[in-house]
Parts: sequence; structure tokens; C-alpha cells
Amino acid sequence: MKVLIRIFWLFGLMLTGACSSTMQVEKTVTKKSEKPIISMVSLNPDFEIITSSANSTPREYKSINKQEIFFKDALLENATKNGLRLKILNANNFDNQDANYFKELAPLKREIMRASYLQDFITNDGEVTPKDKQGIGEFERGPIIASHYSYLAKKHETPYFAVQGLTSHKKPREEKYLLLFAFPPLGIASFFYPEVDTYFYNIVADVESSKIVYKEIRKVNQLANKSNMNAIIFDSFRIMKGK
Amino acid sequence: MLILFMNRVLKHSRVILFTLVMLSSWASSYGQSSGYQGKRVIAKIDLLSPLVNRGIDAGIEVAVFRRMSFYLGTSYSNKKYKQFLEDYKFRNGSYPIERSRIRDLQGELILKVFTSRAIPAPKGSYFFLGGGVGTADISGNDFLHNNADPENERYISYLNTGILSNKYKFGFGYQDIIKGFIVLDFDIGVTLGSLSVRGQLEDDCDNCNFLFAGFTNKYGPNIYSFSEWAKNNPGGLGLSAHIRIGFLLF
Repeated sequence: MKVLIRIFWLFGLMLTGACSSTMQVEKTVTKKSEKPIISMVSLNPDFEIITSSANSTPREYKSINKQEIFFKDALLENATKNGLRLKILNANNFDNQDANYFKELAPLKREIMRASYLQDFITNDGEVTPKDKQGIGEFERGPIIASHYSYLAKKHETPYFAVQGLTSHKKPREEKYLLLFAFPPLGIASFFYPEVDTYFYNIVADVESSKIVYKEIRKVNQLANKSNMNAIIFDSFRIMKGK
Repeated sequence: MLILFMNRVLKHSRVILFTLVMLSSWASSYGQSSGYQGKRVIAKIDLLSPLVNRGIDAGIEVAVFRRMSFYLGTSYSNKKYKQFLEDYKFRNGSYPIERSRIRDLQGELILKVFTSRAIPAPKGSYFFLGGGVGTADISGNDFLHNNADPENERYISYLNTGILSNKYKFGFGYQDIIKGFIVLDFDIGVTLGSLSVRGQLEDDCDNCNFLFAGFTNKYGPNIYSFSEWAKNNPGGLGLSAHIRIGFLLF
């Protein structure tokens, strides 16, 4: 009996820990007049790894470069797998003379980020409570952006522009002595498990209708490795395509 | 052993195939399950089973919802156990060297609930709940002692076939996908083993101790058995683990 109580206690601990992964998706209801998302421009995807463990240097540039390249490759690969044409505009490839990016696209990125931060997706009644569909909120109206970016749709042959990024925070290790006493095998295993929070975001704006049509943020307690990136990005594009 | 296993699997192949097709079509028709890069079906085999059960444990897993998958498998075990015959030890000074054997073939159905909604099934940590049903053959020895006439004491062999066997299991695990198609699955949990031997005995009894020479309480768990499940059931209660390797098919 004592053994069973121990096991159920352990399960409780596991369940509590499991709640730390989250996903929030907000999108507008697709109208007949809207073009389906089959082509999209990604505005200089962000990639960042923050290490706050005391023994490490704040940034590991070498590994970040490798992972950053993979992140952009994963965006392209998973877009193709979802039947989506994705064009990544990478600011690292531009120089100071490239006025187009700094005049047009960098302000658009700022505009999308600002609007998504300051405004909510709302229903026709002005409510911010989503019509929840398996954790995915559907709304009639999305945040509004400035209308003077609409000419970009013609220039890039798509009205959809996305701000995407991945941030991973490696935290100092928490010593899980409680777990070690409750269930030694798992307690020992927890010492090898990474203490990390990885966030992925994907915000898509329609510059023709001047609104944000899709916004998503995910948090997982796992490393930003190839396998996790592929799983997250494919799923994100699939939900977005289902819009 | 492999031929016997394959024969038994082939007997039930139509049922297995039908169930797989139903699960796959259900999975593909349900929009919320994107699987891993669009793939939802995994074929896998347990690496621990040949080592700890002298058997095979293989099956198919289908991700049906964002946080849920089903594992449909079959397991064959052919495990040998030490026989704790006290009367034999009293006469001969030690337990018999012959080992008893439980040969068991089961079909398994396991429900997996994944903890993360942000990474869809079948990748990530999960809780599982499930069970198996099948038939077992038990072979072993008994020592019929006779204090009044030691000359007539007998050391006999027995074989009970077609015993209905069940396993119920729950626990947690972690499944990862490497290189886009190789699947590694580790799990640990509690297993309850049950052998329906009541019909196999000559005398019907309500409060019998069904432990066969003290080994049937080890039936079920594959790592460590804490105890027998119940006095009227000769199965065991304990910990089981699996290390499965597989391939993401489609």
C-alpha cells in the first residue's frame, strides 16, 4: 500500500510539472473574400538562446549560429511540407545600402509586433473571449495595422507577412530532492534533464486588409533542437493553413 | 519460438489489420492531430523484452488526437522462474534446480496521454493506461510429501495450458523522434498481472492460495514484483519498464 501511495504521489508531481507547456493560438475566422494562405514572407526570423546558468558564458555564439541556420531551414522545410511558399527575408544578408528592407519591411515588422502587443483579437461583440476550438481561439476581428503597407502585397506577390521567432532560455538547475526521495530512479533522471524554456511565436499580418490574422505563442520545457523545432513549426503551419 | 509467435499473430492478423485501418482512418480524418511532421503511425519493438521476458513485444502506435495516441501490440513471453518448494527443500536441502515456465501470448491496447499540447503526439512525455489479454501455459513441478511414508513421496511435473491471462498497466514515459523517422520510447509503470487458474483446479475454492511454488506472483511486472496481486489471484503487482525502438511510418 505504501508503494502505491508513493507511486500516486509521484504521478501528482509529474502532472504538476506537465502543466508548464502551453500553447495559445488566436486567429480570425476565414471569410470567403480572403485569400487562403499559400504564400508568405517571413520578416527576418528571430533566434535567441539565453543562458543564465552561472558556470556558462552568457552566449554560445558557435552553437547559436548552427541552430539559427537550422531554425530557418526548418521554417522552409516545414512550410513546403504544408504546401506553403515561404520566402525568408534575412537581415544578415542586407547591407546598409539596402534601403528597401530598412524603409519598408523593418517598419512593417515593428508595426506587426506593436499591434499584436497592444491590441487584442475580438469577436463582433467586442469580446476577447475566444470561440475556443481545442485551445485555438477564433475571432471575427484581429489587431489593426497601418494601411500604408498594402502596396507590399503586389511587390512580394502575397498579402501575408509573418514575424516569427524562437527564444530558448537555459535556466539554472533546480535540485529536485523531493522527487529524489519520492522515487529515486526519476529523481536521478531529473538531474540530467535540461532546465530550459523554449518559446516559439508566429504572427501573420494581411497587409491588404491591414490586420493581423494569426497569432501564436508556444512554450515548451525542452531544448531548441532539430526534433523539437520540426514538431513545433510543422504543427504551427498546419494550424495556420487550416485558417 | 519466433515461428510459434508468428503463427499466433497470423491467426489474429485480420482483427489486428482491421483495428489498425480503423485507427489510421480515424487519425487522418481528425484535424487536430498533426503528428510529427504529418506522420502519425509508428511501428516499434521492445528491446528489453528478449532480455527480461525471453520474448517479443511489438506493435503499432497511432496518434489520434493532439495529446493522445493508441498503442496496439502483441507480446510474447517465455519466462522461467525459480520454484520455492518448501517440502522439497525440507527433504533435499535446497529448492529444485528445475525452473518453472510461464509461456504467455497477449494482445495489448494502451492509451497514451501526452503532457504537452505545444508539441503534438506522438512526441514528448506521456502517461499511459492500458492492458492486455491472452492465454498462458504454466509448466512446473510439485513435491507431494508424505511424512508417514517417505518412500511414496513424489516429485511431479505439471502443465496447465490455455489459462486466461490479463495485464493492467499504468505509468509514464518519454518518446523522442530522431532524424525524422527513428523513434525511441522509454516507459516505466505499475503492472498488475492476472492468471485465471480457478477453472484449472480440481477443487473449487473461494479462499485458496493460488501461488504455484511461490513464483506466479512474479507474473506481470518485468522489472520487480512487490507482491502477489491478491490471495485469490496468482498474478503479481510490480514495476515494469520498456525501451522501445521504432520507425515513424506515415
